[in-house]
Amino acid sequence: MTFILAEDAAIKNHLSGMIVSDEKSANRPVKVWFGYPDIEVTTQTYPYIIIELIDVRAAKERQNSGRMYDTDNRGTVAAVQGVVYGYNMPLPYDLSYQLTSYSRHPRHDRAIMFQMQQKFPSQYGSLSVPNDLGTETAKRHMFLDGFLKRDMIEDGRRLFRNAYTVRVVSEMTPSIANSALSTVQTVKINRITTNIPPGLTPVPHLP
Amino acid sequence: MNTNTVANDALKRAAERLTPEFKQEALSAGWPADIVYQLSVEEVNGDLQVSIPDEIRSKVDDLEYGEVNGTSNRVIYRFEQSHSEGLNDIFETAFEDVASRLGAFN
Repeated sequence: MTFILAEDAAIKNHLSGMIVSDEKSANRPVKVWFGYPDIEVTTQTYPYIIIELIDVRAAKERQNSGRMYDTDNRGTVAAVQGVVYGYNMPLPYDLSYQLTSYSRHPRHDRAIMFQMQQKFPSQYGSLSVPNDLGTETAKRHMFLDGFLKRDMIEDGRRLFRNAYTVRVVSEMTPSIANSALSTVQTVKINRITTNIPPGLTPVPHLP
Repeated sequence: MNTNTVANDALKRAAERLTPEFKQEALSAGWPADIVYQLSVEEVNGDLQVSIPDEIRSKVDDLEYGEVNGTSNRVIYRFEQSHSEGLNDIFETAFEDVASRLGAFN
């Protein structure tokens, strides 16, 4: 997968599988969503965690220059004997996420906090991101930049909220960077409409 | 000559310069003006931080981290991240300033 999509999937995968327990259920899964789901859904399914991508920052302080060579084009194509790919150094980026946990039960809250601290230590954290081919997995450095407890009372009931700010180091691959930097030189428009689907009428052409 | 004093002076000048820049970013991000105008960038223990008065901290947290079932709008985090490298430049400049005055490189 490509820049951002790969990290999104990896961080959701990293959060999946969390379990809390209480007097009614010994194995209650903690659901994970991107963005905010429909309120009616979430009220039925506490506890849960929301993933938000909050910042994409060019990490110029980590930028190197030069050429790199490998046999699988950065894990995007299967290696072929005798074929070597060369490309410029990728562009380093920091991707920051806010992970917000919600629960109604104080025991759920503490269990989530414990598991989150295991998954996102302040230092030496890492996020496993597989390559496109699924043949290799890179461990990206990951930092816990902040934690804020935001418990509140909602509709007369306790709502336990924790906001974690997590930063993952990433890089934009040369092919994406090149296409992002390319400038449109010409635009070609086909003025003769062909292959019109049945039931549709073509707009008359201007002279 | 005290290196810390020079660095702190540089940070205070940077804070004064960055405060209007931060306010502009917060306004552009949609934060309400009555909240933004109470915020400033200040030097605290050798670091630059966005100073938040206690009276509006809850409102700022709601804006920054999002309310219940609302999206976050991390203006302060993004600002501090984007200027973290600038701080290194300030310290390096201050160090070079002191070193040159002491004739360390002569």
